[in-house]
Amino acid sequence: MATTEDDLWKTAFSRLVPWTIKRHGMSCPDAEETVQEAVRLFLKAGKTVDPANAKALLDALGSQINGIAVNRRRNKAMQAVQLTADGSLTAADPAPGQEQQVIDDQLAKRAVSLLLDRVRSDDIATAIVIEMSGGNDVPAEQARAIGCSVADVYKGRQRLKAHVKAVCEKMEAP
Amino acid sequence: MSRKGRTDKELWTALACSDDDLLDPDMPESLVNQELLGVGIDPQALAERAIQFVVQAKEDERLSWQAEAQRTRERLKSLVAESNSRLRHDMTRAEILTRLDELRRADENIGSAIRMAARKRKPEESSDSELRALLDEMEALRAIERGGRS
Repeated sequence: MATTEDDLWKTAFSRLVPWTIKRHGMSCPDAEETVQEAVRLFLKAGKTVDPANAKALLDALGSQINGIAVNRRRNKAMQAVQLTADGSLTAADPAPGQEQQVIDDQLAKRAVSLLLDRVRSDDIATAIVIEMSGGNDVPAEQARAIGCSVADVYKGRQRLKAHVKAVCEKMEAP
Repeated sequence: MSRKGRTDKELWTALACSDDDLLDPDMPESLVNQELLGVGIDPQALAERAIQFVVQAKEDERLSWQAEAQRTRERLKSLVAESNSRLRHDMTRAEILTRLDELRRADENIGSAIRMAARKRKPEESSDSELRALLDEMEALRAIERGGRS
């Protein structure tokens, strides 16, 4: 974990860039630029960092990045909503990643069922799904409940994420 | 701790948001590096760029007052130049005195500055060029005051 301020900034960039790519559907250069913009705003606001508290910096910058991304989407949408030649409006494309958030009960039931089917040979991933279905989302608590290391839980969550993505793709396929 | 069970919809939403693991400092660095390599980013190169960027951003922030001061200076200079360019070069002594009187009455601060100047030397004791220099200064002061309020 970060011990000096330099380590903390390295940690922040190494986590925030891939997070921004995934969360906001950005390209690598766009994500890195967005993280840089968030850091500039953070420094401009006169905020200081505590190398012993990486979580505080990640949360502060994560929230700043969300704000920047939302503003960019809004601006893009406003630009995209233009009058066409016949006077009608053209609508903007939906924000990336948002289609995944709108899901009805039946689809969710089917998605969870497909997911459990996919992970049935992966004990830790299955146990994580069970823990999450009970409302336990915290990796350290999941590790305690499952009886494995926190690192194993994170690895399991990575595998689970790949399975979730695969289920999404399968359900979207015609 | 007792927890309420989730519906499939709630569970699926929670699963779909698991990218937030990256914001958890307890997530092992080896997995973070895997994520970076997975999207085609070299972790070491990103770390180097991050430090370079932060050093530069801090320096820019430290010097940002200078840029702001420079902008203000340029703006005031152009206001002064603009106000001086509006004055005719061939104003007579009577016209200069009339204009000084107008300025004195129109603006309290400028009025005070003119009175201070008059205490040092009365208008009737001043040469035309001294009066003209005073008028230029007062017009500049007025332009700066107005610019500072805008």
